Amino acid sequence: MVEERALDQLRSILLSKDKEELYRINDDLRIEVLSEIQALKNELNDPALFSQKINGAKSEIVDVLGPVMGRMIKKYIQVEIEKLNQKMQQGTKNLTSVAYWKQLFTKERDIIDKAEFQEIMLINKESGLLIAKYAKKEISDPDIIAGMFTAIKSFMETVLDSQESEVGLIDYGDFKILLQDYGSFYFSVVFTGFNDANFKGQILEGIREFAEEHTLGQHKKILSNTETEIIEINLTEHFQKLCEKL
Amino acid sequence: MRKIVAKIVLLGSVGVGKTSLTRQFVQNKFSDEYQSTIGVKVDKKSINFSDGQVDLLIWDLAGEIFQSDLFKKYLQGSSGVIGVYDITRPSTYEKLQEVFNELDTSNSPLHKIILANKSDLAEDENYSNYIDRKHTYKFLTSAKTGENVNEAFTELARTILTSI
Repeated sequence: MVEERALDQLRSILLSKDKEELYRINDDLRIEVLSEIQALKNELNDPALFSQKINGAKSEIVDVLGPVMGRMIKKYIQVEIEKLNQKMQQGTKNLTSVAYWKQLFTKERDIIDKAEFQEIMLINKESGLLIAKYAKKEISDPDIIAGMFTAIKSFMETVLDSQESEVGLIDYGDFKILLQDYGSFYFSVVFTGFNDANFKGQILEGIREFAEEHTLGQHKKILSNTETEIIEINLTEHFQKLCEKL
Repeated sequence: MRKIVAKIVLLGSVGVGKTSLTRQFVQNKFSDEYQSTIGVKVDKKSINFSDGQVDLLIWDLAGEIFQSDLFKKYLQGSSGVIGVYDITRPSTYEKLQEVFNELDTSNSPLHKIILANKSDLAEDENYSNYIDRKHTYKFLTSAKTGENVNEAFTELARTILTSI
């Protein structure tokens, strides 16, 4: 016991200077680390300074990322070359195939087929009740068709989880059905032929003009009424004129 | 003469006979495939009264649709609801009651009637006892024999016409 105490005393006498030095170094190091952290914080808060720092270290970054990026780019190019190669091989094969030429001919003919307006319906979005219609040829059961369009539209919106008023296009056999929302209503436009953007643009413009002319937004109550006498609005004349223009 | 177009919805559990009832009432023009794909099929029937005409647009909902978000969407804008249950399956009545209770709390001005379907099986003592004691319905119908089918749709159409 006496020996241990004596040793402790001796240690404190001999190591007192070392201890002080150790504390000083520790303090210096702490101050240095803290100032480094603060500087880094400042750089991150100042994008210009951070960007300058990165520019300065460009070569180091390239050195680190270079091999990884290089591998990715190489792989991408390989896949693209492979695809191109497959296309060329398929192309050569096709040129000698009768089916290919037949298909090509049909496709080209489809493209040439001009978009042709068939019918338009103005439908209550919620109930699916038909408000007005115009068709080049007599439509069989337009009320049922309006209901089915509404059901299909509701189904699509629910499945796709979308309530947005977007133009939807449905392909049905030779027909294309364009659905365009307008407040509490929507228009369904059926057309055949090529899905031509210009044609669609003209149709949408016609719808907009019609909706504005008949102030559809302000007639929600009247148009929702089930009394057919009230809801006869002149869609026919408007779209007949539009059809003549198309 | 007044002429109105009204949307009505036909609902009930799977297999209660909704589609068969509609088939009895209208000439189906669309394939039943629509119903299995999007959960609904639309049909139409015009009913003439001395004071007006009602064009009923009948939305025949698939039985499975009760639980889906589509149910409320398909119900929107309808003037009436025909609920159908199968007298041989009491659980279909209970399910229908649940849905009708929900409709009652939704403040929607809907005219509703309940049909107890498959009356052709009512001769069976077990079923007839069950109907008489526990269930509330407007018409006992049979899609098979056509019993009360026209009457049920006509009564709903009359109620809608009178209420407008």
